[in-house]
Amino acid sequence: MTNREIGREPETIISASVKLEGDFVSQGNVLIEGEVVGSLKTEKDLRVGERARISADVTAASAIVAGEVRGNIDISDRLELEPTAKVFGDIRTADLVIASGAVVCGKITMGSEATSTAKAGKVGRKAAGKNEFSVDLDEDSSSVEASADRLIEGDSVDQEETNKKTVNAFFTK
Amino acid sequence: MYFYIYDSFLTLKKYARTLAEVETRLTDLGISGKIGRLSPFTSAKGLIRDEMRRGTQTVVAVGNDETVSKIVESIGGEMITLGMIPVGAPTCIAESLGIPYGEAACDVLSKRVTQRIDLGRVNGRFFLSSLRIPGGRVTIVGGDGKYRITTPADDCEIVVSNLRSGEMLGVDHETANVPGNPMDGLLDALIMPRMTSLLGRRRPLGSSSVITLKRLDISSDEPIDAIADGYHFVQEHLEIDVVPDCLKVITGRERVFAR
Repeated sequence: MTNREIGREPETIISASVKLEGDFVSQGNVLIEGEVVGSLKTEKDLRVGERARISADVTAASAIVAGEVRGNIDISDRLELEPTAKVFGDIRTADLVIASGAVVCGKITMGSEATSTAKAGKVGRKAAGKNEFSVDLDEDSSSVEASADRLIEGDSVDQEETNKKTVNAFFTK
Repeated sequence: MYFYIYDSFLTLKKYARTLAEVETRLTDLGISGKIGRLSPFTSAKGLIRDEMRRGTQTVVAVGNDETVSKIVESIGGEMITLGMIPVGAPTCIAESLGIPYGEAACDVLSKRVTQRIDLGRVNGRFFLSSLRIPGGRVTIVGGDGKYRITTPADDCEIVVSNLRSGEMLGVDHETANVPGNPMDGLLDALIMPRMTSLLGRRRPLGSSSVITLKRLDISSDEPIDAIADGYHFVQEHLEIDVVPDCLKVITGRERVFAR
């Protein structure tokens, strides 16, 4: 993966074979190709390369993940999981794209107000005028494998009776 | 009032003609001034201190990157403007500041377009361009101790850069696209893999890491060999930070920042 592939210029690059431990905070675009342990926070865009291994809670404005993330992901704008992505943790994002082949093990909370409602302790609120969902999976089998032959349909549940919602997976491939 | 500091190597005969042309041009432009010469017994610090007492406001380094380094180390934080006339080699710092070689630099001096730029500081010593650690396994602590970065092995070079250009890093190294901006109040720490020769073509063993920060500590189990703007030293622990807007410098139109 080169600098040009992430669209905008990364200000921070952690290349393969470099290990970062601790709480890393950046105000610019971040490209991770190596290993990160701790927490990772950026006010702009994050790209996690195919060979990257992150054991950290991740916060960013938007993110494209092609590697492995073990930790919760909190994205205020758009999260894209590429075919090689593996996420073991909860995802909270306004907009989600999961490519065929990506693996997610955890709870997915979506919607433009997801981050703000989650902070207020209200997960899964349905916003008016737009399809927004949250996912509550069984703890024992909390895994979503997005593959071409296994389509996960969104179960529409009455909003007034319960806040438990459905999966909404978008397949780009 | 200009004070010109000539490096000691300029006494070599091969530079005589270039220096004569420079001095003639400076006279034509009306910006000639007093000349001080560095020698094993005359330090830049001593020369500049004496001239500051006499009211000198502009010091011009005549020589290469090492000459600039000696002067920056002396005037960092002072209310003095730095100019350069590149003679000899290497002159990467002057190139990054948009100052042409030899006589042509006199015209840039006379236009006197100045920028206030940051300086890096390692263990109390100022550097303008970069600090290099050619090899060795080190640990970088950044973010005021909140995180640390471990380099892979001995086969990588670490460069902490304030002002950088492709020539300084080597053309084969692919790093962040934007050249180091000495006006952003940040340093760029680059962890660059060593170059390898494969089928006669030099290429890096892997991609480079770039981290921008204001302050970092570098430590190692062994003493660290480091080079700050061409000045070589060995320390067990390096405390590096950026001093924003620390130096007023005369720049040319071809500078790599703030165009």
